[in-house]
Amino acid sequence: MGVTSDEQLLAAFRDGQSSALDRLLERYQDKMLQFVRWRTALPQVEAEDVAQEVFLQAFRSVETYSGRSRFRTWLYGVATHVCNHALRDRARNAAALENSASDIEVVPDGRMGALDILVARERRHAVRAAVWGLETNQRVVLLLRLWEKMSYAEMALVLEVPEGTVKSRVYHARLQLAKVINPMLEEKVES
Amino acid sequence: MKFCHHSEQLSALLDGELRAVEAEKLQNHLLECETCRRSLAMMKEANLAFLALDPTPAGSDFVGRVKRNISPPVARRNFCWSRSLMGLAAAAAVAMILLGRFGVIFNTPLAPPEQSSPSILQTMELIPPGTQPVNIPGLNMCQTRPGLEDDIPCLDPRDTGSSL
Repeated sequence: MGVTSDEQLLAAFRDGQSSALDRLLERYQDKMLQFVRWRTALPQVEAEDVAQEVFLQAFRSVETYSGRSRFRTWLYGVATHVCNHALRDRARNAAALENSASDIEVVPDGRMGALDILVARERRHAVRAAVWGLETNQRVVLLLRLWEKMSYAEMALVLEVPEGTVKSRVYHARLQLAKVINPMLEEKVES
Repeated sequence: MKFCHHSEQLSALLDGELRAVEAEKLQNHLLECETCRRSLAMMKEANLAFLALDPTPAGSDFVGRVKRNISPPVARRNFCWSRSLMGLAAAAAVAMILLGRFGVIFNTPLAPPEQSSPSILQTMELIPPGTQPVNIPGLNMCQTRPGLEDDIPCLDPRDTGSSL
């Protein structure tokens, strides 16, 4: 069986095929969870709850998807709104913020510098840490651009910002990441 | 790390977001600008490093948890239809019982003529004494059953003393 597009799976879901829902969830669950994590900087467990809410809201209101945009654009648009709500809810509960420090993964920290990154033993972990060191908006545009291969126009729809802003964010994100990657590459060449 | 004023355009070039004319102009610039060539190579490395990352996997029960709260729209629609049909069937059954009770549908006696009973209107004193019972099919059974009109008079509880 060939690759089925998101839109075909969605049509099958609308026709009552629950297996289509399985495939869509499997296709997007990890990337959506990562999107939520990078967008909200929430710990894994809470991010899973938010990601779950994204899918619930999306599939419960699937009748509102008109097909004018691609399904993934619409889905990430829903995710942006759900993340914004989650962040607002979290901001109301300041005490809850303290719990995020117990996260297992690298704790998001804007102060994380290149030196901190370089001491990381594994390159991928270091890159991941570098990504966490980026601004939230920069992390998100890299994910949408590189993992989802979205155009600037699609990202502008998802994030509700002008295309010029998207272009600038992608550039700065790439630049920041390159600044971290570059010393690592030089170190690799020297060794 | 040096940057040329074309840096932001380089990022857009990597993403294929430049118009053909702009892209060509930048390609020509790259031929003569070492700084931009280095920047472009670094950005490509950054892309590759990012692409090598795997998203943090969701918990094993993630899909199950979502699915428990979502059902396909058509399935929900069928469910509503079945409920509606059940409601209609129940309403129809009640209507049939009520109509059947008053003989509107079948127009046949509900009780044998031997057990003739007073008209329900008479029993409820909805018609004055001495008035001929209304001929409602099935309601005034003794009058609607052919051949029995003369034999079995309709009974009015107030007349029972004189006629029986």
